[in-house]
Amino acid sequence: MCAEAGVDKATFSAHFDAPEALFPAVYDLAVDQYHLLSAATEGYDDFTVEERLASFYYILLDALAEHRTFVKQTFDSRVRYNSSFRSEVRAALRTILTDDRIPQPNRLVTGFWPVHEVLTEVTFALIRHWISDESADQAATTALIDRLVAFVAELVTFGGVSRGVDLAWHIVRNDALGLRRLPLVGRFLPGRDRTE
Amino acid sequence: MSTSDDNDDFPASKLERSKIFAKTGLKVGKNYAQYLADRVTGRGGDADERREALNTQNAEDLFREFSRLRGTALKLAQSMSMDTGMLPDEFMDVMAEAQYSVPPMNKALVRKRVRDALGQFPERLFASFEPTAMAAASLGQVHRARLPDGRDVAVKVQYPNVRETIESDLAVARSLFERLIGGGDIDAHFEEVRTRLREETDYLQEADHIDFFAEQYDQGDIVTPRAVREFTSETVLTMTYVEGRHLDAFLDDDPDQATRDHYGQLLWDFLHEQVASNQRTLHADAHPGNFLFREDGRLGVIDFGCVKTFPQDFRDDMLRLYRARIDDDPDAIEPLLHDLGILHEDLAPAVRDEIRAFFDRYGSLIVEPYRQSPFDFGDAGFRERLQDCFRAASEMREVVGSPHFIFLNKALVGLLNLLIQLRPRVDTTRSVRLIDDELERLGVAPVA
Repeated sequence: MCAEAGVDKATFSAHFDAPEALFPAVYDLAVDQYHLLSAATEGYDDFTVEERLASFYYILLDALAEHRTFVKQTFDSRVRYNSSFRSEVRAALRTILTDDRIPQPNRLVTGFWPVHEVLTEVTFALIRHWISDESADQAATTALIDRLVAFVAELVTFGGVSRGVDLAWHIVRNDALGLRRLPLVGRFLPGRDRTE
Repeated sequence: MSTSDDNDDFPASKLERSKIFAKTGLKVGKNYAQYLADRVTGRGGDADERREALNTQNAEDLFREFSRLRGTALKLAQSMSMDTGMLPDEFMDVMAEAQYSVPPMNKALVRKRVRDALGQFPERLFASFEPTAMAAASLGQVHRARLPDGRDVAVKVQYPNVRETIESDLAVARSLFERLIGGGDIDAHFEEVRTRLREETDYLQEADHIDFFAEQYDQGDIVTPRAVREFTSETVLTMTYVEGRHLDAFLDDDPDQATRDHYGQLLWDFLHEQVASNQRTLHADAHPGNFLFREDGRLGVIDFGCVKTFPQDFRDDMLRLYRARIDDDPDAIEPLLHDLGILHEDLAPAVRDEIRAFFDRYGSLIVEPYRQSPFDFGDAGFRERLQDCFRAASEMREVVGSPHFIFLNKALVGLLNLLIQLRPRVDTTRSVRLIDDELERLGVAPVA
């Protein structure tokens, strides 16, 4: 490996404990590339949640495409489970899902770790789809991502959550369902809002 | 290419696209259910009336939903409806409106598509690149940009995976059309549409069309874009930007009759130069969004995705039929209707008579402008006769004639639609002369 990369063993050892550690590092570089490129993208600040998520997937897969054969050979065996790449992907997704472009009540859900975990799993499924995608420029995966991010964006920015929270709060404050009459439960509810 | 209308109800989410197919199917199903219920209960007039109402309702539902989809389905709806005559009353308005709307392809996807096609992100390739699309285009969308050498360009970016989508969309659409249209060889017609759609997904081919039309017609009063090859691939097409206003914006300024006449003449002559030319190649997407009315008095022509080259024999027979129609010569018309596949021995006598009567009516109508020059396209009588004819076509619901008619009709109906809205007086003597010259070459006597 050192000979191929043109570095001496000491330099290698300064960065990696063992040759096996090199494999996930290639994947981590893809996430680094995403951070660098998205920061350098003109107008990125104006991107919607859908566009940010799409940008994440496209940059990630473009970076992996530079090592497509390597990814095909190593993805399932080296990084699919319990890798730093998995953590990096989850962290990047968490940043997108807790962005203030998403309504505050929705963030109570999208900031929850199982959501990040599910989306990380979806991301890995996408990578597997991309690995087996033989269409030109993996356009089938591009189209799939386009639909996926539209769907996810629709879910995470769904206005019904805000409205639902608003409705629930109104019901509780005004005791619209008469819940205060219930034993025990009633004690925990605030008094009727006299101002309304 | 003028700016587009912002009022857009294009399905924002891609998921909605498939939902619309399902919804359309449900609507058609619901209409059938209503029809069957009425048949059982005896409501809603006699059987023929109910059937007719059902067909009209289905056609309208189908068309309305398809026009929201654009892409494959819209193009299919446009092409098939014009050929089969499945034209709901609001057809012209719906078509014109749909063409201006901008479908959303998110900015990240646009960047990705440009990078995949041209190797770099747009900001690295162009001096400037407008991230928001300015118009819908053939199976993609168009962005304004400026080249490093300072030229203003329009960049057409194709949706991903369009070619694969075409096949599945066609399969769904075919089953829906089959319910509405009878007779004839629907497979051959679908194959013709499929071929054009496949061609439309190849932007390198469109660049060839652009060069062809620029060489043939970009002189004098016609302006066309030029392809910029070094910024073009199969899925991204860069062409020089053509200024101008669409028909609706042009008409909003209430132009005087002389100005209407001028542009009407340009539109009329442009079509006839193509029809009469032995290149046999036609800009078949003659809808209002593809013509630009310029301040300098010239006519801009854009979007060369849908270009049809006719076989020599079809084109020659069409010219002969034109001549026979203009001369109102039934003895010459009859064999040509057979040669062009409109009439054939397999037709039942009643159907054959119906088709013959319709084509006599339609044929006589479209040659009216050649018989009377200048012809006034603002004539309310002509417009009504044309609309009646389209209505009669929608009642036929038969697939008739050679598949090559699909795109000839598309161009012709598109032109008539434009002229009826523009209301010019057009001098048709030059177009008759062009046809005459070609007829002479074919050894046919010129128009009397």
